[in-house]
Amino acid sequence: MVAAINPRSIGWTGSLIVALLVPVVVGTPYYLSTGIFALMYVALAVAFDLVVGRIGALSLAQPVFYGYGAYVAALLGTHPRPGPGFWVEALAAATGASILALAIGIPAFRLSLHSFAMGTLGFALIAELVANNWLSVTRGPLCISAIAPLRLSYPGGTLIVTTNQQAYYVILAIAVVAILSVGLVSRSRLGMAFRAVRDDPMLAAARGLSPNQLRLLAFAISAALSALVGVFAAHFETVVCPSYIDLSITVLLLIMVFVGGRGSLRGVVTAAVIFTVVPELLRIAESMRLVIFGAILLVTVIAFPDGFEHLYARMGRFISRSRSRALPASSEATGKA
Amino acid sequence: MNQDAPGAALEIRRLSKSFYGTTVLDGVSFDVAPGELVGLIGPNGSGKTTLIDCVTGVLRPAGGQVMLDGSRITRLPAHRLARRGLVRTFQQVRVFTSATVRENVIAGGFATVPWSRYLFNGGHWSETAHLADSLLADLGIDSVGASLAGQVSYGQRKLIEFAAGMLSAPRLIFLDEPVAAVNPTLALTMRDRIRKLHESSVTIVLVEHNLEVVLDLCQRLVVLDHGVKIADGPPSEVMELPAVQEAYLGR
Repeated sequence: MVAAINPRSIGWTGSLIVALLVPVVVGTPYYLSTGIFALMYVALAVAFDLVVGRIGALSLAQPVFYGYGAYVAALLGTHPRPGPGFWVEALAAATGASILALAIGIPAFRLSLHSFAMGTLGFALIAELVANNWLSVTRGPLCISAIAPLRLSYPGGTLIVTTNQQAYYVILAIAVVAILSVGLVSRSRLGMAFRAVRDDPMLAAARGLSPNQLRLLAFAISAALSALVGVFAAHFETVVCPSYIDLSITVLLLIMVFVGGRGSLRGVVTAAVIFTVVPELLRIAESMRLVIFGAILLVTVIAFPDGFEHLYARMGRFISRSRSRALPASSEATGKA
Repeated sequence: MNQDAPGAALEIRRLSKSFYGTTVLDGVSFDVAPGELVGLIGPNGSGKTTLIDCVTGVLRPAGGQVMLDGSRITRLPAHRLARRGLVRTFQQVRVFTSATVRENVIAGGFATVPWSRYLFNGGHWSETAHLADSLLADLGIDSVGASLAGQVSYGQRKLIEFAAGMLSAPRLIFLDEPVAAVNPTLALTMRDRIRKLHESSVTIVLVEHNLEVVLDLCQRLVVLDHGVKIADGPPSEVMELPAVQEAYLGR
């Protein structure tokens, strides 16, 4: 019976239980906010991986959608106006971001995949310029501040998210939604079609799959998920600035996806948690922080060139080997008894 | 021979293509009748694969027209042609390396399903998977079904491509050197399956260097040399032509 339980599902369930218990164990609001950032990056990195890892298009425009979601939430509800609540904001952000993704993707995917990266980089820079200079809407570098707390209505009431604990559970739910949607898509035939386009676009076309339409679809889903995180971030930080679209976010997401292992959900989630929590813990050694961070990054890249996924796969093989050794022995033991 | 389909299955009219000033196809024209098995032969570099690429939407021809079952398909993208039953295999065998052998064959089913069905694994897909399994068994590659396609032998990958092509419900299929670099036993299997495919009234254009296979299977040969069609007719007549002997056999 033990053999029937998949170690992978144990891993996911265990991680979820740990994630649910974090606010109970961690009392300090500062550390809890680190957990919130970790989950934001889990959701963003998983969404990013749909484009970079699963369909193999290197997008450098991911923060555009995150920032778009944040600006949507900010413009819809600042003090004293409470805003329309999470569901309306989420819908507006997700649909708007998907449309934006199509607007960026349709011209950018006409290019070769290398130029696609450059094209999306161009859009990211333009978006940052717009955020900085369209003063009447974004207030530019002055930022939109005093954003009202997130209002989450549910059958029978409305939750106004004011504490870090509440915020933690909201972003945990968003992260779970992101993981589940990417997980379900990649297990479906659609995920197989994505992989086909990544492996060999010419062969995929010969099989009746349109590489560009599928790339656009992955890009749009990814944009919608990122925008959801943006809505949350706007309310959590209560201020939205052009720095939401900063390239440093792209760099961090790239590290998470490549060090985690492209196309690996568990690898990317692990990397997102490690590369948000570790830098915060390193604040203890403030002056050496970036040096240590860089060293950790170098060591992981050299030790696991395929990312954490490689490590997980090795662990999986080790467990199944030791289990196949252990099983005959245990049946012998029951036979004797 | 096929009375209820009067027109040609495929009409190629003055097709031309050049790469960086070098003419690879120079006004090639020929028809393929429904249900016909035509051999397309010619020495290396004569333009056979370029012709397939231009017809199946991989390359854009510089000039000329292609009609499939009477409607113009010139310059349509490859995926739309695949969905219309114009299927091909590749000379340099291609597989999805991160997918298993079985998944590679099942991927042939994408050509016959609308988009909306991609998210769900049931219905059409269980039928496709069932068909894939019987094809794998029929071609003798069911034992490697769970292996990654990038890790099986070259000949087995040729069989994967062929099986995937079968699942795309082809009306017309281009087979680009299906038995090249395949071991003799597999080559025999392949020859047999091509004949069966022909008997099931699928139109076939066979590109192959192995003359024994070509002469055994085809009722008609089209010969290309330096991008020009130099012969078209029954194999016995075509092989006697001096131009063919010189170009193809080097005599």
